[in-house]
Amino acid sequence: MAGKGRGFQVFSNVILTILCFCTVMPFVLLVSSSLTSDATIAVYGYSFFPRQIDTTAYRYLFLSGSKILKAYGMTFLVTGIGTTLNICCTMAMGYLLSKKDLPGRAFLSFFIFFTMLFNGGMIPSYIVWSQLIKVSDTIAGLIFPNLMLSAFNVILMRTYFTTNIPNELCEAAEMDSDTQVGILFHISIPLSKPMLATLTLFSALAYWNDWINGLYYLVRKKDLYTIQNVLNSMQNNIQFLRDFSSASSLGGFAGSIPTLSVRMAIAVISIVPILAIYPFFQQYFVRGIVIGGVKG
Amino acid sequence: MKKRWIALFLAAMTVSLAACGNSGGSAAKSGAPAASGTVDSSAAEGGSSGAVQASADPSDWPVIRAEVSAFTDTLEQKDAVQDALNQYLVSINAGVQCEMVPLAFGDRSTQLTLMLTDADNPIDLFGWRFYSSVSDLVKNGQIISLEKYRDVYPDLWKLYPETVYKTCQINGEQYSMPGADSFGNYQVYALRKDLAKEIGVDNLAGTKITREQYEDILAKAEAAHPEMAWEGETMVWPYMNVDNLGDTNALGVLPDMGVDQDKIINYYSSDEFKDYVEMCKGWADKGYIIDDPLNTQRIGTTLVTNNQIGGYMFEAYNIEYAESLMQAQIPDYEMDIFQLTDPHCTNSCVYTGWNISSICKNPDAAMKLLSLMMTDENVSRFFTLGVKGLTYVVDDKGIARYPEGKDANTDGWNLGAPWFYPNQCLSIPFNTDYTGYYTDMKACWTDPNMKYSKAMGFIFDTTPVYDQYTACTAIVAEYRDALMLGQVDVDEYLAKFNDELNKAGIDQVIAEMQKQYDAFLQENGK
Repeated sequence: MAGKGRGFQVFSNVILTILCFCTVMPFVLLVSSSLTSDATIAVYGYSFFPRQIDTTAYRYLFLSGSKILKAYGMTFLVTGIGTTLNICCTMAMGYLLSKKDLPGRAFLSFFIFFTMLFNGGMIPSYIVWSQLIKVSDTIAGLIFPNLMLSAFNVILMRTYFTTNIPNELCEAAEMDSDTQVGILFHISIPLSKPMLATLTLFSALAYWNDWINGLYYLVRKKDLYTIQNVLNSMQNNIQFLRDFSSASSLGGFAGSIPTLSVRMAIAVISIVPILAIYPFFQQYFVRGIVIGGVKG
Repeated sequence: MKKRWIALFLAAMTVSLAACGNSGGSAAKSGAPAASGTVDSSAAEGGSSGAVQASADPSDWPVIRAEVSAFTDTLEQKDAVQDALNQYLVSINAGVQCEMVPLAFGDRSTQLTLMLTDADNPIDLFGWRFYSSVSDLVKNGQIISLEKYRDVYPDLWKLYPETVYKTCQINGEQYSMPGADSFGNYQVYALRKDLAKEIGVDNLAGTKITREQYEDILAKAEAAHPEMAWEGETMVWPYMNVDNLGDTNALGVLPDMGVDQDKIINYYSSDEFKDYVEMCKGWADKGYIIDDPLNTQRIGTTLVTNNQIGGYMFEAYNIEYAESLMQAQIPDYEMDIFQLTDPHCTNSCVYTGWNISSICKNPDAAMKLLSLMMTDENVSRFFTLGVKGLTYVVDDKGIARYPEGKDANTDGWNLGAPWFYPNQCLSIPFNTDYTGYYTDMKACWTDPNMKYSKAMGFIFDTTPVYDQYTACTAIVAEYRDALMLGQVDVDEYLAKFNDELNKAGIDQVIAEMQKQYDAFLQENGK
């Protein structure tokens, strides 16, 4: 039995090491490319270890890239506001739906679940957000569409509240004349830290990595672009040049596009904050997702 | 008690969501420039004369949104250029104001598609190059007919050869105004001057060379510098000597650049295409084509600058133009130019056209602005060059340059795309020593030696064979580049390519194309 267990341990360690390697290597390549000059990449191709370390790309970003720094700041701002709003809404909605005596609970739950399966598509969504709610060309365009409330997160939160907060505790609080808001803040939230941390990470990651909202809703206010929008726009321009490379008049634009190493450097600095905070969330993240998943 | 609290929660959530929406709206109002001006419902319904009557107060004039080309996500001098343009429009009592909307080329397709659905914030004037085609825009109901303005602005229909206008017409109606260009090109090969001298072919520079001479140049260059390649970009159509009828999928083409041609053929099954791809395969095997071209960014200028290739093919309307293009695009090296083919004009040589969107609230004002962009050099230059002294300066030869200390990344305006606008010939040459850049371009319009394809103005409507057409284009995307860049075995892959095209129904596509082309020839008395 012990031998069997050790065999499984070795097997799973090998598999996980391979998977870990597959996950980490692209990041190594990314960092290595950002520290390699374009000429070296052109001649020798990409390599996991730079032949010669070249920090020009980072110097370019920090010395001349006020736009990059502004976009970086926008990313922090949008992620901060968006995640806060997201967590507040998710928590409130999850709490409500966890109440078994909520009028229309089944309908509301189905309504939320339905949005996980179907959506209106790009153009109808754009029309609703831009013409009805009028978020175009404002910071609201980066925060509200798509990301402010996730049906998946609401269901996770509801399930967590339903299965992990003992009903007796809430009833006892009610008997002590505590209000629903009081119960939420005094009992449910303190007991839901793992799930809240998990959802915070989900939401922050979604905001941090989002470029769709900027592309759709900031057509005339591109100075509000986040770092991912700037990177995505560069990438789109490069793809455009590649697609239309035979148009001779476009050749001159190659010089307007930041070099490969600069693009890699932007990608590196855009993932650093997430890499930095991830370990602090991980313990909650694992617990929260396991509890929410198993008992859901 | 509990239910009351729950109800209160629900109400609070609803109110907060609604408040979020409203705050977004008010921010939009305060942050965005003026909306698209006075709504002229009669104009939209086609009841107006088409002319614009300017009211005394310019603040009452409609604001037309026109797109501006960009290769970065922001143009820092946009507000300054827009203000200067609007001041000029007031000074000439134009009766219309303009809001410039910069769209980066890479994002443009998505953003333009969305803006063309946004009736609250419509884009009014835009070009179809790199976005769509006149026929697709008309089919999708995205643009309006300009036919009613023919009497209001008759001069706009006299700028270019008549046949050029036909390329932007559907069923005889003008939907788009063609953008000025040479309307005829030939293929050239640019080779680094130092390498041309080294291999002893510099004496041929500036002349027309045969295919044998061209291959001889490539062979000598490869022998001298085996570490480099000599073709970077995808092979370009004019060297194949066919008119692809304005569709790069080329499912049906006219041979001999369409000159006096009545019969559409399946080029991919022809001996000419086989010869062509065999030549490409030979070049790839000899090392003329860059390594792994299917996964490499094939931009000739970058590849030359990075010393990966020594030369590449592109299109030009004359040798001087090609030289000036190289001078601007590859400042590190001087390039020699060799002419490979004769000049021809096909549908593909009309690169752009400008349109009024179907959601435009004041098409008369939009047409007024479009007419000014096509005929008023001041208006045209605000778009192509920005503001003199701010985004460009003019040297003593009359050439536009970046102001002192500025370059493409810091200028704040996109000076490198005059060809994007309706009439670049009203601009002045930028960043070149070739002072005849636009005068020679205009001279092409009246050049008696220019050969026009018989299919000029023919636009294939794919609707009757939509399924077959779509299936064939997917197959072309899968096979053609690999064949044309010499990356696969010609016999095996060409047979597979044609086999799949036949199964997908290329014959039906060509038959439908021929039917429509015959009708087109008959209608136009050709």
